Amino acid sequence: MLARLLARSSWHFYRRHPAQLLLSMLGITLGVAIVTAVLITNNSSQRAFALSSEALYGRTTHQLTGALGVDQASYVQLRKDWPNLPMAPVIQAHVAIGDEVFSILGLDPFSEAAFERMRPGSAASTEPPRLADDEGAAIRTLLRPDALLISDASAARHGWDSGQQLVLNIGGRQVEATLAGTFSTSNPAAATGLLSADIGFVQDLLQRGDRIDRIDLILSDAQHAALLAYLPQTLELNPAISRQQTMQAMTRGFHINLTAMSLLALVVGVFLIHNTMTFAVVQRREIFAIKRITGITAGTLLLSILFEALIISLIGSLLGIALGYALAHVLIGLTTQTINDLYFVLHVQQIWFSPWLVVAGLLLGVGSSVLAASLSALDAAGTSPIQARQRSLIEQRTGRILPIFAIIGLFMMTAGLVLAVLPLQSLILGFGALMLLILGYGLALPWMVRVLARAGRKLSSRGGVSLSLALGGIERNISRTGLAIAALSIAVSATFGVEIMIGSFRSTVDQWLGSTLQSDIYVSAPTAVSSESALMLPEGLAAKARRINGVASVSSGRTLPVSTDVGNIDMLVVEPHDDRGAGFELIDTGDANADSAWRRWANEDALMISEPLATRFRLSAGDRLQLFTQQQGMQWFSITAVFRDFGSSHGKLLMARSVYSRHWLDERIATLGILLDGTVSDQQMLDSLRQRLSSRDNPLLIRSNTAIHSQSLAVFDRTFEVTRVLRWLTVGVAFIGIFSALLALHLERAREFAIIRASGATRLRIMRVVLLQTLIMGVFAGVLALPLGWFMSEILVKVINVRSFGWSMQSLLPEGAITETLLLACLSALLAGIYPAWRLSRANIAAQLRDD
Amino acid sequence: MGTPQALCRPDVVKSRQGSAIAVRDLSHRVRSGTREICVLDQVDLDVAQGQSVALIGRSGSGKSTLLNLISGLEPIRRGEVWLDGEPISPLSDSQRTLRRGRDIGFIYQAFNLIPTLSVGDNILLPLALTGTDTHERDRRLSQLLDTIGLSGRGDDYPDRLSGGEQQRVAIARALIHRPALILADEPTGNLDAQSGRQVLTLLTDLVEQEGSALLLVTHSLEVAAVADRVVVLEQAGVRPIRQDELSHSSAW
Repeated sequence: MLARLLARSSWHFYRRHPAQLLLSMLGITLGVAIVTAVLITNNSSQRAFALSSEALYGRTTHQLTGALGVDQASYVQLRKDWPNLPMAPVIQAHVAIGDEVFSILGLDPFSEAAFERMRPGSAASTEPPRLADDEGAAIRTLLRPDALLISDASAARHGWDSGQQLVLNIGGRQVEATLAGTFSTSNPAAATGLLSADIGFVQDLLQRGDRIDRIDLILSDAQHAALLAYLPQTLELNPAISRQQTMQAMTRGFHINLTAMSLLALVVGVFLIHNTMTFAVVQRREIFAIKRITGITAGTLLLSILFEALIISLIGSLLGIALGYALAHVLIGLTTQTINDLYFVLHVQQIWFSPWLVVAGLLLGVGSSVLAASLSALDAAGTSPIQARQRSLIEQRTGRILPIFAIIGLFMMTAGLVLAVLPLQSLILGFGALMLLILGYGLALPWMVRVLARAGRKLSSRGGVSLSLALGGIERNISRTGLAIAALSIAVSATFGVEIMIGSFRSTVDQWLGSTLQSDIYVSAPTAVSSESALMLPEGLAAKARRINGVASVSSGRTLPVSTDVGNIDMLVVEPHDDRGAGFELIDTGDANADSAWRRWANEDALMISEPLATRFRLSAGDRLQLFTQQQGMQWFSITAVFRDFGSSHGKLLMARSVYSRHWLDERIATLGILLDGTVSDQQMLDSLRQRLSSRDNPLLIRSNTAIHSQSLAVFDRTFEVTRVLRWLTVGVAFIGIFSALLALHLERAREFAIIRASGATRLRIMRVVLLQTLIMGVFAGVLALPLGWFMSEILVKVINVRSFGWSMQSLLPEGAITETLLLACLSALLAGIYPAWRLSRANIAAQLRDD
Repeated sequence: MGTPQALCRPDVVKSRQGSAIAVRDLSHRVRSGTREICVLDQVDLDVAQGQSVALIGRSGSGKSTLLNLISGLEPIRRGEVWLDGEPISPLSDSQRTLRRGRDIGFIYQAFNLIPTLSVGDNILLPLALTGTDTHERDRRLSQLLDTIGLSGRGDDYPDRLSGGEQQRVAIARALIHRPALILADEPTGNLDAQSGRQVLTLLTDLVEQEGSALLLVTHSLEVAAVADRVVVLEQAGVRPIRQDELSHSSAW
């Protein structure tokens, strides 16, 4: 009975204040939506990766690889020597059809039965490829040398039928193939973007000659041991899972960063939820006092407030989960683009939504809301009924608590900074440091607001009554204004911090590209995806380029994956323009100087490693690394230096071409760098090179230094698109929060404003006071956001980036960032203040004064 | 009750010279559901400068409405109110507000002090809105705090004061800018008898001292008795009442 009465009382309150109810829910909804969207996005891309791995590897337990793939003869010999061992030759690459990139798998149909590829989740089902209705014609199509199979879901999506001719784009060349049939998987998402063809056809397509990428095997432990003993040292046997793990590890930092950004939105969300719940509670302190006087215990009151928070947050969270699901569709597009740009080709066509995400969303939304409400509920229930009616007492008590909160906040910030500077590798602890800093600063913010408001009042004693009322209103209602400003300030500081981080990063990458791209023009074979190593250039192209008038020198390079004792790492093989190095900035040369490090690199069995690799495996100049070479299998190479590199977060090796040729017996190159002698312009040389080097059969991608520079920066900008989206969503959450806080605050003070109106303040003056007050709140939020934002950026740049990606860089304040931050805070506050100001100025004074 | 039209009386025009406030032919109707009720019907009322008038009437008789119309808190739709010799009905909301800030001081039954402003700041509010010189403000505040017996408590907050003390602060606020007219709506309604008497004495003394006119709305005959003149608001109209009538009347 009592519970029903209390619930009815709450319901009546919210019916009278629907905007407040709506805004409370909206704050929770947005906070939960952002976190859920990121969880769904991360989950979807990880599931898509797992499923596509399943489709690509089937039952493969091990893979046999060589330093430069595997010679076909080795496969034939292995087949002869181990006739009963399930083994299958594989070539895997990427081709484009129209604008879409597909993974193409070259397989030997006669070796495939045991592997059950492209049937993930239904190992028992071994149905053959589905053919066209005319079976005879279908079999003839299937036997064509250019026959191609695609998943039925992909075929349906593109509207392709069996027998249809498709044009494959590989390295800029156009090759026709025939769609011979479709295969089905129990989960259509598994085979999205996957093509399959006979290995011979794919070999021709990729101009691989008599080489294959790998041999997939299904081995027992005994067979594994026996095979290891049999294999020559130029072939390497690895568990299939290790490659998948390596690929997954590449994106770990990226996914953690996304989660952290979403948690930041949630922290702001929790602040705002606390804010709105506090308002909903403090507005009814007198009602609660009356309830206490009538005999309702503090415990019952506390439970009724918590129950109310539970219901509101439950509805808000459920809506948030639904919104998060919709938002995930946008984020998935952005994150997949980034993964494809930076890491590997991934097709995510399906949103993976598990019941656990609903549980996680509910726990986050309801848990944080109930926790936020419990603080003010405890306060309301614990206050004596007499005190509850004394508003000034609340403010005076708040005033006394603020310095205590500020001291606690200071301790938290110190703990956060200590955690940040400790030489630890843990990314989670890095984010812990960031959260401690934010929460600590948030606790100290209301005290800082009061100090600023007091100082402002003293400074502006002659600044007019509107200013005095506005500043006084902030200081005297600090229990409300402090919280609203803190929430806005944290959200704005997050945007400022992220802006500095992205700006610093962009500027560093820009400089790095400037120093690394030493040639005027670059020549390469076009690839379908930017994260993939370039295809090989035709033999003799470098010599041909050197003979062209206006060319001063030609450098060459190629990137290939190399198996090392710390996993598979991409290696850049370079023949620089001169002996003074390959344009990389050396950040660790051990005891030697840079010249000597370059000399040793060019002449000895040595290499250089990139900063992310050095950070991840704690390697430095003077250490040694084992690489799997073509000539002698595993070989030791000494590290002469660590170089700065922003091209890969996974790490990179740098080797001189002469050293590489010696150990890999391979002279092929993938990129030419051309330095001009100054007698011709860049454009003239571009035209000349296109005319003389590129042909229809061997189309080449010939780009100027500037073009590559700007394309690289475009990829960089795309990478941070998702961060930007999350950042604006966080600002959105903050805006809703400040709007609801201002609305609640000003409605609570409606009677005060009515008294001021009755005392002779015009409507315009009331609007001016309210808007001036919200503007000042915005200025305070903006000004106070700057130091927090700067500290956040320092942790993001110097701790999180280093621990996630291994990149170190200097913090740089982007031009106009401070102005933008202040404007953002002021405009958000002003916009949020317009409606409350309008309502207050239009309020019926007589009714407000009569309402006792 | 008859129709609203039936209750309305013909126009009567009287002199308004020398009045702090002159109400002529003032009518006011409010809508209640589908009905329209005539709250005030062609009311005439004069309060001379320095004079105090008590307005008595039963609950719901329209006393507060009359105060709201006189002070310009509600717009005048029919009739006229002259404040210090100038009509207020042609004025816009802003102009009425400015006149109110300059010429009227309010005292409410519920005190209506701003809880987050100190006692001193509450009293200073009307001067703050007119932008009076700080030195003059401080002098006047100190003088009034002395008069109301709260010197040294200017920094306290209203909810730390007793009801009587709060009403004394409200009186000081109403008088600080030396308005031509004080409107007091049941100023002792929330106070015990003794506090009520003290507040009333303070109010009448101060009004007399400042030379303001006082329109005092009350239920209490004892309170009404302190005024120079008493009028009663009944059946939507105002009529004068004699002191002997007052002593024989039942309580309002």
